[in-house]
Parts: sequence; C-alpha cells; structure tokens
Amino acid sequence: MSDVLSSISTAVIEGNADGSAKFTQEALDGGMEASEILDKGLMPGMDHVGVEFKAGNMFVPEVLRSARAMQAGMDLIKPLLAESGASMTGKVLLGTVKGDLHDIGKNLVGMMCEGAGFEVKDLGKNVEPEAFVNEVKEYKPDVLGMSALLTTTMRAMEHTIKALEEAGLRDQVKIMIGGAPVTQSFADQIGADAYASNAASAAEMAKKFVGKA
Amino acid sequence: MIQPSFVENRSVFFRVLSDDQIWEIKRAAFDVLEKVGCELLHEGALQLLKEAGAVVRDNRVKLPQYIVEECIRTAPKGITIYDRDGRRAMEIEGRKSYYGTSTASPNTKDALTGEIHETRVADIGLGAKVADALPNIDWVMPMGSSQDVPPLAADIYEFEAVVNNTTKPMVFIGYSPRGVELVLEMAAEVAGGLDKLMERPFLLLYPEPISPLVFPDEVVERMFIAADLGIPQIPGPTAQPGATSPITIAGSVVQAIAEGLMSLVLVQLRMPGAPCFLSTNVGVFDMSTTKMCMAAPETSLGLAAQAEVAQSFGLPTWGLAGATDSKTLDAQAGIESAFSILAQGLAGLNLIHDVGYMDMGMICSADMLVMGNEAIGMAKRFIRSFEVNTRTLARSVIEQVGPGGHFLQEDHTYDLFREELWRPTLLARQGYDDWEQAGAKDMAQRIRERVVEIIESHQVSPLPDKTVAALAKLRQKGEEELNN
Repeated sequence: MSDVLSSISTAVIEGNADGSAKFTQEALDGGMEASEILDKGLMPGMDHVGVEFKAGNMFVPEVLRSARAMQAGMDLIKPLLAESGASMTGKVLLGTVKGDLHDIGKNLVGMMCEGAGFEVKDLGKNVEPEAFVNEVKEYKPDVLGMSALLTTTMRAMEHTIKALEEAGLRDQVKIMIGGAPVTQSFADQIGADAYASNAASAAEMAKKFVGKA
Repeated sequence: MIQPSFVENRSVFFRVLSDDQIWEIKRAAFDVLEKVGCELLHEGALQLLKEAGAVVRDNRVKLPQYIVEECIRTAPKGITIYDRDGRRAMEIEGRKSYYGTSTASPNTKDALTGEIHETRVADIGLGAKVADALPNIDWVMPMGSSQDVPPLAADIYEFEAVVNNTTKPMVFIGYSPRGVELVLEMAAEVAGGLDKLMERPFLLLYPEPISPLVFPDEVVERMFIAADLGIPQIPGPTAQPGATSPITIAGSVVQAIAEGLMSLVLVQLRMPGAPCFLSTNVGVFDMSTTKMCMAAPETSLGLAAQAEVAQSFGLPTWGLAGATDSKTLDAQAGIESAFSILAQGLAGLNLIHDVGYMDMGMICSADMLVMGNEAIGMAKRFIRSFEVNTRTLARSVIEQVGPGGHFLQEDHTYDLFREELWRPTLLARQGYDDWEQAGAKDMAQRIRERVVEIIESHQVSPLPDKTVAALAKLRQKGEEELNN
C-alpha cells in the first residue's frame, strides 16, 4: 500500500479530519483515482475502526470522530466519484416513524452508515408513511431504515411498508428497522428485510444489502 | 475568574457516628481498659506494662488512660507500603481504601475446575496470580490455609506461593511466632536484605487477639516480632455481637476499640513508633445456626463505626468486605459482595480484606475475587463522584447543541467520556439477542471463563532465578526446623 493511502487510513482511525482531508488531497494531486482512495485508504481505515469497536477497544465518540474524518476525505472525492460513474457504497434513507419523536438511536445509525461510506439522507422524526414513499421514489435509496422507541408507534413501520407496497416501490428498497422495543420477530411479522439491535450492526446490515460486506 | 472556597469535587462518603457519639465510645473504651483490663500472660509484655505504669494483678492488665494516650501519640498516623519490587504501592492513611483478598479458609473453590476441595499450596499460588491480574485488588493474603503440607510449615509454603505469583503487597497471618520469623527472613531475601525490607516493607502482619480482651502468648510474640523490625501490623480480634462482644453494635465497637488500643499499647511499649493499625473484625453470630456470618449488614456498620473512632485518633483502619455466606456464585453472593464493598468504601476504611470469601469464610474463591473486582470498580466510580466546574457544567456545550440535537459528536463528549463513564468488564450490557448469540451466559459463567483466561494467559513479573532458588532453600530449611 502506498504511503499516502496508509496515511489516510491512519488519519481515519485516529479521527483526524484535517489529516484525512490533507492526505486525500495529496493523493488526488498525485493523480490517484478517487475510487482507489476510497477503497484502499478511507474504507480500510473505517473497517479497522469497526473491528476495534466490536472488540470493545473503541467507543462510540471515537467511532463518530473517525466517521467525521472519513467524511472529510469523502467530501473531496465525492464529486469525482460521481463524474467517473464509480459508485459510493450506496444510499441510505432514514427516519423515525410517525408519532415518534425519539431520534438519538436513528441519528447514530446515520453517522455509522456515513462512516461505512454511505450517502445518508435523514428525514428526521415523526415521518409520515407518505413522506417515506415520496423519498424512496425521488432519492432512490438502496436501504430504508426506520426507527421507533415506543410500542405505540412501532406499528407505523408496518403502515409505511404497506404504503410502499401500494405504491409499487417495495421491491426497490431493502428495509431495516430498529429501536428499543423492536425485535427480529416483529421485523418478520411486518415484512421488513432486517432488524438491527444496534447502530453498528445496522451499518453492517446496510453494507450486506449493497454487497459490500 | 476567582471563586473563593469553591470545592470542585466532593467525593461521596458517609459517617455513622456524630462527634459526641465518637467521644462517648472513646471514653467507654478507655474506661474498659482502666477498670476491666485485658487478660495477658506473656512475661516480657507484663514487664513492659508494669514499667509503663499499668496495674498488673495475676494475669489481668489494667491501663490508665495516660499510658494509652502516650502510645497513640507515638504510633505512626500513616503507613507507606511498597510492592514486591520496591515500588510505592499504598499510602495507608486518612480515608483511603485499598481492597485485598480473603484468607485462611480450609477449602478452596478450584480456580481451574470450579470444584470445591481442601485448600492446597497450589491454590494459594493460583489465587495470588488471579489477584495480580485484577486492577481493583491492591494487595493479597494467601487465599486459604494449605491442607497438603505440615500445618506448622504452611506459612512458609504459602509465602513462597504468593511471592512467586504476584508483585502486590501482602498481608500475612503467620501460624506461629517462628513461622512469622521465617516468613520475614524469606521476605528479606526478596527485598535484598532485612534493612531494605524495613525501609520498604511489602508485607504486613496480622496477629489476631481473642475477643473478649484476651491476648495469648503466641499472639503477643508475633506482635513483638513485627514491632522489633518495624513491620506494620494489623491486630484483628473478632467481635461477634452477643457472643464474643455485647449484642449491641455500640458495645461491640467499645470493646473492639479497647482491644485495638491494648494491641497498640503492646506494640508501642515494645518499639515506640512501630506501625500498627487500630483494627478489628466484626462477624455476626447467627442466633439460629450458631455460625459466624461474614456478610451481614451489621459487619459493615460496626466496622464503619469502629473506623470512625480510629480515624478520630488518626490511626489506620481495617475492613472486611467482598465476602459471601452463599455456597455458590449466585444472587446472594452478588448482593453481599457489592453491598459490603460499597458500604465500607463509603466509610473510608483503609485496608479492606476478604474479597473472595464464600461459605462464611470456609471457602476462598478466585471467582468471588473476580466478581469483587468488578464491584469495587463500580464502587470506586460512585465514590469518586464528579467535578463541578465551568467545563463540567457544560453550559456552552448545551448552548451549541440546542434543543433536539445530540451530544454524541461533541468534542466535550469525546474528551471526557472515558473519565466520566465507568466501563464494566463482566456485566452484561448488550441487547438480549447479542447476549443470546454470545452463548446466553450468566455472570457466574462469564466469571468462570475470565478466571481460567487469567490463569492461562496472565504473566506475573517473575522474581530473579537466584531469589526463587534461595526462597525454596529457605522454605526447605524452615520446614525441617518447624517439623522438629
């Protein structure tokens, strides 16, 4: 691996956003392809962070700082990736479902997905099924993630999935759900594609859906 | 900005007694020493006591208050203890707490198999090794009394087993006066000479007078051996309310203070300035089973009160926590361990022993020790409390994040989360599914695995080969002598 790529990885691991941007720019100035910087510099750094997090050696604030460093590099290569037609990891659409105003877990999923190289669009909280449907149509995400904290609001996930089915969009997107009261059996019951019990496994699940895990 | 007289961090603590109550207990203890006195036969001790002005009739010694007060004056108010390798390890003073292992049980819960059997020397070595690996265990005692060697020589076998398996400071009971001398000889070998051992002691001795108010010859002998060399000692009589002391906690504390002061007087008359705790144990005699419990709430209450009186003299104190009366590592074990560890930490007792006891002191267990290590971590975090200052009040952070935002990505969070949040090493905090996937193991199973992992992978900093050989030789020679 070239020095500059390993410097990018290290900057991501250390959560050093300035370093990540600086070395990414250096790599671009040296004529390196954006996709090579992503696949061999930024992503390996973030993969390492994921492993360390799982092993209990790194913690959420550190992972998020690494994700931010990754983003700093991504910001520079994103336009070039788009130009060359090379894809990002994929697109994730997120939201807390109708009636529910809790969003810390959903926000964390968003940051973890960004850290995994996804482009993330967050619809916020108290999101109507119709709003999800419109955005699936417009934004064309690979993965839709829905969150709920309350047993009283988790049913809105089912309504959203129904709405997508009625709009004929259900097959265009993988759906994952999460939140404190949500379980695998609930996911099975309402026809979601996956359940994730925490933010890191949600990001991992999203990667699996786009064939990058 | 100037903010005069502002305390940023007041750690959490409790007090059992008011100043008036402490005065009453002290006065009562002085009165017991002067009017009741102690039973003691040791010739040398009686001579010293007579010379100091004590009233000695037959085998009863009565102490006027001024003698006791003079001995309190000459006793060190703090004791610095080093580790096996000569590094500063514990400053035993004020309300600083250090937790250590249990000791002297006839049985052991095997560290490798989890089975319960008679204690062997090998178990003492394994116990010390596990203690060596645990960050919240600051010092060790031999975890058990070895049944596979001649009883009188057990001391020296156990010292050898401990010192080869941990660098942490140790507290030693000593089964006989000569045994204690031999242990000190071996400790001097480790320290590189008796003078070095006296300068940087890594062990303390633990003579145990008998409640109520009896000082057997061999106990006095062991006290004098330690005093002569300036090796710190922790006299440990055991008050059992309603059996070996009055049923009331107040009365038990009075008697314990009297016994502790008598011990202190013996040590100070023998060698003014020799380090000595004002210590006791409180065990609860169960009025239905007649067994002595090691984990009753009255133990922590009595010890906390005794320590407050000792603290009012400025003398070091002794606790008993992290023990269970349960026979297995179950919910009872968890309750009793955590309760006593927190209670006595809050009371600021200095050396707190018996982390690792099960079955009312009849079993030492590395599993219990590992569980105690986790509970101590929790208690330390709780007692440390938190700072209140501009940075921790976080007004600017709250302003920056604003309503509906989150703090996960703030530098403030990143910079402080490690110090603010305690991280357990064994408690289950994952989601149910993740826990199930990891084998659905309960705390006892996770602890069992951790103990085996420590034994298989923990590396104890070794003694030089030369020292190991010299210790084995001293032990061999000592055993021959003790058996004759």
